[in-house]
Amino acid sequence: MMTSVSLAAATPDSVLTEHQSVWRLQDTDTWKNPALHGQAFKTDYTQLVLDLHYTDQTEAFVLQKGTGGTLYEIEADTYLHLSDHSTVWGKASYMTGKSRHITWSSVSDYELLEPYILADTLGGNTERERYVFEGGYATRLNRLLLGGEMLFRAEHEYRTTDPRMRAIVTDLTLRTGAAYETATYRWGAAAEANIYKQTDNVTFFRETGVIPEFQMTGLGAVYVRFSGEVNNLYFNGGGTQLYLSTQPRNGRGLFAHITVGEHRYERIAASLNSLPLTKLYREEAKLQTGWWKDGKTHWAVYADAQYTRRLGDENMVGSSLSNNYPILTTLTMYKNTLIDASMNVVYGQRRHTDWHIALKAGYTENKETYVEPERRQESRRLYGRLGAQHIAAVGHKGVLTCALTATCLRNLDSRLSIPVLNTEAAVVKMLNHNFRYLKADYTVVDTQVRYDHPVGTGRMALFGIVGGGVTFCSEGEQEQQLTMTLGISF
Amino acid sequence: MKKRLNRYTLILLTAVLAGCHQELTDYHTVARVTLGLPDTINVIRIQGTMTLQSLNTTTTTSTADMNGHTFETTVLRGAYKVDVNGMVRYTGQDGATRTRHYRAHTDYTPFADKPLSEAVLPITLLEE
Repeated sequence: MMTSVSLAAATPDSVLTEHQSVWRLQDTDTWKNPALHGQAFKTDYTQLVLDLHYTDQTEAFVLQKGTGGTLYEIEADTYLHLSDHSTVWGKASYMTGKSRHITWSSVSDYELLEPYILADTLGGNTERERYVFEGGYATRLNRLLLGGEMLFRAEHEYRTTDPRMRAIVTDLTLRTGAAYETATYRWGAAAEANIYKQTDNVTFFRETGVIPEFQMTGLGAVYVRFSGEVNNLYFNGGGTQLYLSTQPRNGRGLFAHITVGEHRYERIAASLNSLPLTKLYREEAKLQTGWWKDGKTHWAVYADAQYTRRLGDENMVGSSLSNNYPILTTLTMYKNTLIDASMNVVYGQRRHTDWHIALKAGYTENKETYVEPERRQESRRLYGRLGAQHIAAVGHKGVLTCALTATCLRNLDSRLSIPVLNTEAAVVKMLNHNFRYLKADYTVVDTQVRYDHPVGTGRMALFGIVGGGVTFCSEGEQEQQLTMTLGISF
Repeated sequence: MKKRLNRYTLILLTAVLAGCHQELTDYHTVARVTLGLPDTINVIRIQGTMTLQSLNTTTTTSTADMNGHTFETTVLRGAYKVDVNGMVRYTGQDGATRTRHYRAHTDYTPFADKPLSEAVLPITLLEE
């Protein structure tokens, strides 16, 4: 339903408060169900935004992710009610920029595909480009809600100095969902299908400077036979995910979201007659459940638990006859378990201003093993986060939103065990470097200030955001982040 | 109501987790390498060391445990390069007893069959 309330008035019903308040944004998991996303907001909101995001670490915390980057983005996104029954939303964005000092990774989407990547010791800066298109539609038929959504991402990452890596990613996700409303509850179920593809190649322009590209197979293990000159790879993958949720309709009650999914990514050597080298399986289960109460004073208490199991299958390849490589057997050589469990409390008030505080206390665990020769890396930590957000009117028509978050991560115990004699010296150095930061303690402080000023007589407003953050690491290094945004909303 | 929710959740999660990827854990097999001895000699005694190098990861294992003229060891399944070095004492066709070094080698042999993978390697007797 259309609203004619001024966009920037900081009263509890204003559009801005509805879309920016941290209270509503804790529902982002439910909105993965397109039928429920259609019910997310009562007001319409559209924005066109220009963003600058700058990150810099004094020393790379994870060598494969580099020391930071400078990214520029232009984005348009909208959430519109077409009628009483249907809602449409969409987003289009273009990002360009550079990432600095990436080593030991010649692929894009490192966190998704690791450890099954192509890597080299030299690395360098990379140029990046990303296109995102998203669109969704939801409609209501009496008590039944239906929705569908499509999300597409294309990324291009390349380097202009040797080793010249080039990665092209296409990632398509389709979601369909339904929800049913009873008198007091809303029950939703959605399914998602994802298709993922990445092509990578590394070339050297200087013949004397050619270094080997390693096919990494987990915790420093290298597939020696196909390392060195097999520089053309592609990844084929995809998966499915299921979302189930239940939430109270009248503002108070028990809520629960369950997510389960399985994804797989296969690494294929294009130059070896499309020989599949490895396949990574990722299974996830996530549960978020708790109690919330809406109103002038509102609060929520909930538990959040996420379990991810990643398995890597390696193909043992036989001898080739005329470039035809037989696969003798496939063995699960890499295993990784990740757990993240936390308790959360959110409390806030919506009277003259809209303010919230959120507290989170949690535990994370990461265990990786490689079967033979045995390699092991484990880390367990505790973390706590305190956040606060305040949205208030300023002057005649402006709105000021301030947010502050402080997070503390403390290592409980950690362990790295690698067969040094069976591993290349440079790889051992890389593993030791990453492990130092994996078991370190971190303190993160983030702040953000946003100012909205309406222009003209309609719904249009100009806004600017300045945000900054610092991460202190117990290794004596730190990370700085800066965000600047300029936008128009209407 | 809460009880029904818990029951449905449990059923669903079990159904989903049952469809998960099964780990492939048949990691090892017994590799049996038999030395092919020439017909012209009568072996009195033979000993040797077999070194297996994985063609995929270049890690090596070796064994000197011989049973007759057969080596047996447990290896990770895959493709291997096999090298055998040793000495053999034999009586030749002319009746004389000699002790010579021998060598056997293959650039590629697959050891992937379970529970046993066999290979035969002919030996080369080295000059005295």
